Amino acid sequence: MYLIHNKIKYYKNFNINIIFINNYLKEIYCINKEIKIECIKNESIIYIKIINIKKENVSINLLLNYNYFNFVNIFKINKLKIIIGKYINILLIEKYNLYGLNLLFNYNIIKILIKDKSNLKYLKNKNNKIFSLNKIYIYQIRSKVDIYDLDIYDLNSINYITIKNLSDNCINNIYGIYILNNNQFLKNKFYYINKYNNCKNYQKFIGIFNDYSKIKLKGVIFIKKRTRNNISYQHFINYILSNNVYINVKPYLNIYSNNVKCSHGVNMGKIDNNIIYYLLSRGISKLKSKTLYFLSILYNDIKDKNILYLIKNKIKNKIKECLVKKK
Amino acid sequence: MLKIRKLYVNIKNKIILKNINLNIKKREIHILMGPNGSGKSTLSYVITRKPNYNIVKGDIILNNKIINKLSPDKISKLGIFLSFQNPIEIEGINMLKYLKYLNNNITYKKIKEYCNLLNIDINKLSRFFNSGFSGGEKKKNEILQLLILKPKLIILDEIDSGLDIDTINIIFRILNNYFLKKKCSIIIITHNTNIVKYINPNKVHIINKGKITFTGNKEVINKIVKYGYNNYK
Repeated sequence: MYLIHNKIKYYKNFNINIIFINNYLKEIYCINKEIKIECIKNESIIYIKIINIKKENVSINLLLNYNYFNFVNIFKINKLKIIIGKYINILLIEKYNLYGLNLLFNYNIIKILIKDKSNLKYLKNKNNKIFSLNKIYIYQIRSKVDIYDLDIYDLNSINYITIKNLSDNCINNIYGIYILNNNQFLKNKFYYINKYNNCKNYQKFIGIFNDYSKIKLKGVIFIKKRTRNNISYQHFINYILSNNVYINVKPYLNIYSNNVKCSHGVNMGKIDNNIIYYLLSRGISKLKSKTLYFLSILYNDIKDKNILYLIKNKIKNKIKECLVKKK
Repeated sequence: MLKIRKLYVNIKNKIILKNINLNIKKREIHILMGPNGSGKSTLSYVITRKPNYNIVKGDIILNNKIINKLSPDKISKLGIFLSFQNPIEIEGINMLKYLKYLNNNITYKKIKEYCNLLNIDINKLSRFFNSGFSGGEKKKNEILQLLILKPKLIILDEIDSGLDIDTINIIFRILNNYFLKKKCSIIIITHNTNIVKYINPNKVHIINKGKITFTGNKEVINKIVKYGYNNYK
């Protein structure tokens, strides 16, 4: 155990490191004095409560640091419940480290309750060596949530994300970025369930698909009876780079209230050759032009600079890989 | 500098340009005029080798090298610059970063200098590419890219359309300076018969129905003002 402990990295950029070894909670490492963390560990589930002591707005970076060693039990499910207290701006990032493993099947269930006047930015991440099944449930009380769902890795994955409002005045945004090539398969389902008033929901999913990749996406917006002033927007944009791609996208609107503004749609198409020609005519190479074109589409909706900084190189490399293979 | 010999071009199996012959020497300014849909812009796209504009017959020769089969990026690197009639908008690409893409050695100070010349607000370069720019600003942006790329052959596709008188003055003053300093060649595609007030062309070509029907000096423009293109069919 001592040797294993030595290998694990602490990330100093993060105020809170929650370290797991083979899906067992190892340590919570917090350097922020304005935050108090309470933890209850069961055999089946881990509860983590983050409380703001000062009652003023506090910004924290939280890292869910998953480490897997070669004696991992793949049947051990990581069940985590995080309760984020009031007045906390939190950037939550997942990081997976594999030691002595070439491949891993991983099953995570994360439930997050976010309370009044708090903001959550959640970057859902993966690793090139992980085949994963993730279920994420987010419950909101008068708060704002931004989820960045990044599926640009080599192995297949299945994700279910459910957002449920528990009060009025909740805002949530989901940005999905999917870049698939080879025989990759991705299945994602998003549920937005709203039973309250004055809530905003914005979902945008952009995908770039090449070779024999397969994707199944389902987005459900559910707005209950007698709710007022709810806004919901759902848009899937898919770029097809090969004739062998399989795309199955289903946007659903289940609206049982009259006083709502909701829209949904799916776009599918190829690269805009006029833009590529414009960039080529300026001396930018074909590969760079196409990369620039896709980056412009993907970056257009990500306003958060921290998130952009974290993901931009990964996205750039994956797009290049996707385009070069097509050649 | 640029020679076009017996050029035939088809798009989607339809011949658009027929028997085009052009010879543009170094330090020459040529004007291309003609009615709408006569093939002026098509010719500019063919020179820069836009995909799907197929050369059936003939050659495009730049500095004694046939460039028929080169890609648009390689042609740009040989020194040909096309200023578009309708410059595109690209949301998501920062203007300043894009300009750095064009020329990695360009400094912020130099960009600022060019912006001052063109009367562009430097703060607008923090926006996305051409996003929210007016028609005139987009055209100025084309000239800004021209100054950064420093081409040897410039093709300006209706650079003066939709511009106010001050902007036209600014753009042609810069072009004249560039022409004198860099000793380049310029092809201007235009409908503006007042063009000779701003620039002194060596030759004027008239294109009609995909053919160059007349080549002469700048005095032909006065005839076009009086009689239109009917005499040049």
